[in-house]
Amino acid sequence: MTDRIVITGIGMIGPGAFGRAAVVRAFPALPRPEGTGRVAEFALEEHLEGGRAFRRVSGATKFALAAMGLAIGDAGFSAQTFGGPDAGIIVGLTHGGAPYSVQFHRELMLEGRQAASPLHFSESVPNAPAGNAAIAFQVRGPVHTLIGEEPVGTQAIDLAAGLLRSGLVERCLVAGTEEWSEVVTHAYAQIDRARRRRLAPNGVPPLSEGAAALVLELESTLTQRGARAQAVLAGWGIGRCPGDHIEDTIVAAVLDAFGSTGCCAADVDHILPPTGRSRPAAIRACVSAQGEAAEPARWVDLACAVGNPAGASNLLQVATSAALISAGKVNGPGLVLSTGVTGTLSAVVLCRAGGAQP
Amino acid sequence: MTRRVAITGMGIVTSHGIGKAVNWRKTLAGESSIRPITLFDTAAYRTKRAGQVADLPVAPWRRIRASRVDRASHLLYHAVAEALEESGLAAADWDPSRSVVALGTTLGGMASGERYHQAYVRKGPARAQPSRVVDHLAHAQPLHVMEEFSLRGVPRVFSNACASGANAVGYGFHLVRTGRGDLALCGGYDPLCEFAFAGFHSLQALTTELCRPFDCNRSGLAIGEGAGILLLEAWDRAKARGARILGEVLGYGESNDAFHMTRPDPEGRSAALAVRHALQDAGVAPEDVDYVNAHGTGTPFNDASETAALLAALGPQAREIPVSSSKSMIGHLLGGAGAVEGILTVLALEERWLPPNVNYETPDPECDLRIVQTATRPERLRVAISNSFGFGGANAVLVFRAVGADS
Repeated sequence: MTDRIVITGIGMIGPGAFGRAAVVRAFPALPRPEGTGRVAEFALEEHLEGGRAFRRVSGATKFALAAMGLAIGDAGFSAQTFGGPDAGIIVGLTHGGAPYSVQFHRELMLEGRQAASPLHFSESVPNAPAGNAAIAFQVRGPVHTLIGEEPVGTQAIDLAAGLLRSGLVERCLVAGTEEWSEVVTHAYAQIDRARRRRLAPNGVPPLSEGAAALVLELESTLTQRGARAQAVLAGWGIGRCPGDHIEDTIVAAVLDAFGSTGCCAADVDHILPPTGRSRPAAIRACVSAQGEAAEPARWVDLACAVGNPAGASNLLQVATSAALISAGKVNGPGLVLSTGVTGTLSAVVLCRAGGAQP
Repeated sequence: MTRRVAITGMGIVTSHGIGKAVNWRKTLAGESSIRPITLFDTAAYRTKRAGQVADLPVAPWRRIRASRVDRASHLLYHAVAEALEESGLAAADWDPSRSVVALGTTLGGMASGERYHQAYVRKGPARAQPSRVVDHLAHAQPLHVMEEFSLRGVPRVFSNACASGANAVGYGFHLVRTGRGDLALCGGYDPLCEFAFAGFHSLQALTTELCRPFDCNRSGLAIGEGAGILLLEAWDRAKARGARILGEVLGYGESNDAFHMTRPDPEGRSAALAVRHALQDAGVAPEDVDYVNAHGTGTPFNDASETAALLAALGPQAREIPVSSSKSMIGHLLGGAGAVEGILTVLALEERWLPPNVNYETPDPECDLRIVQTATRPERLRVAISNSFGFGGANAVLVFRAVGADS
């Protein structure tokens, strides 16, 4: 029997009022969007002891640190007890802290090299959120940043699961983070305008920002530290369809995700559709994968609440499903779907702890 | 399940040139390919030289418009083409359920991002070409080469600063070794662009003189560009298909300093941990290590920290092990460094020559290692390690073994 990967801590930082407590409170509705798709101003110290030391970091790093601080506390650790050589961090992102990159380049272009801030450069590198988190939580094991489209969160889960199962780490923070950027948003708007000359509008949610973090552990290690699993990451599938037949590839990823869970797509209790592109195809694929389900699944569409926080979206979806399962608001299995602009996609299945066993 | 992991193809592009042959010849000759930068105007900078690939040929893309893709994709194309050709593998051998593309990069196609932003600011947002934003993303270049070479699947793109390439090779290695895959095309790349150059300049990390790792008078690093690709394959599978095995990946270790975003831990504690993990993973003892291809950037902090890490992990005998850094000749390839230096390490094992650490003149008591000053043929060269350390405290160490050294 494979040792199951369980979620023991959840942290969510979303636009407007979007956060774990608000999601659980508002369910089956979702917290109402506040228009801008931006995370409300907050002090990092609210979520992270010693957070003031990181006051000059980019928004992407700040969101990640806050979400990680929440997740670590939720899992029963503290910033002092989580780290060590047997702890790891995997961060997934798309653009990350793009505003600092833009600012550094703008300083360079308009004011000359003397004005270009070294801080803006070091915070521009994609692994700045992970590097700062390693410092904040004293994580001295594997620390990685993966770049990808919306489904990059599932890649992060996959990498963390490998580290846990191989015994290289005992606990792993998995996070997705993204900071809204005017320049990036403008570029995507240009692309969408150009594409809609050829394609029917497909309701792409606006780019937004936020972060989600999960503490992952092996189920077998929980009893010795007296911790509780909030949800089980029962299975996941990753795929890519560069062509036009994305529906078939999504169905394959869904079946792959259910492969060893002991349940099937027809059992799905709730579905979180993608926040990125190919949403209609993903929804069709989901209906197709479910087949003749006895009970229709409940759709929990985060795009209505958070827009599309790109590289953070997938883990925000997983965190939402896990939070709802943990609070008893839904039963599970939950199915999380994610799709990216070049056809990358993923499916993740979450179950209640003590549920189906592979 | 634990399997041996063979290297059956390698591709390399650096300022020495394109391909293994030219890179190895110039490396052994101790030739410096740090040259004046022509890709952007350096008038405002104190440093004006880098390991720029001179006259990079446009890759012969068949499925993608060459003018559309970033310089990073061209670098990657040449390295992937060489590695695949050497391996003798065809697209039909690539089963996406048993194969993976894992690449490391620091800033991907940042030059495209720069061009978009320049147009956005100078000509107005409406006149900026949006595809450049998509092309600048670090997962765009892997997707380009995967499309071109018909490699299906989802790429894993590691961005752990200067350790990225080694991390990607380590990922591919573990995947094949544990039987979760049979093939891994892995490595790293980074192009030279003003953004990264200015960034390191702002951190005062660039030397205005010669890059001289481990020398008492070292004054900083020289930036480089390039790509390195290793084709990793399950040993038995490679043997069964009659592939030529170039070397063996024996182990991989990683850790994080958790110390500072841009400075290494002066005591090299976590870097030493990565070395120990790698040796343990490889099942070799410190006395088995015949050569260290050092990260050796040439900055005062970095080389001293790496020396401390090697002494802590390997013990006093670290002072007897030959050490050299290729960055003295080709510069620091950032996300490409780990893979390119890994390839040079495998070539050293294959050819039984120790590559030199050029420009080394004055020993530094803080770096009391046995620095290889000129190419040397050692008595024994069976096992070597390649170190990569980066921003954000990332440490990655690869262990390689020469073919036939297991007997």
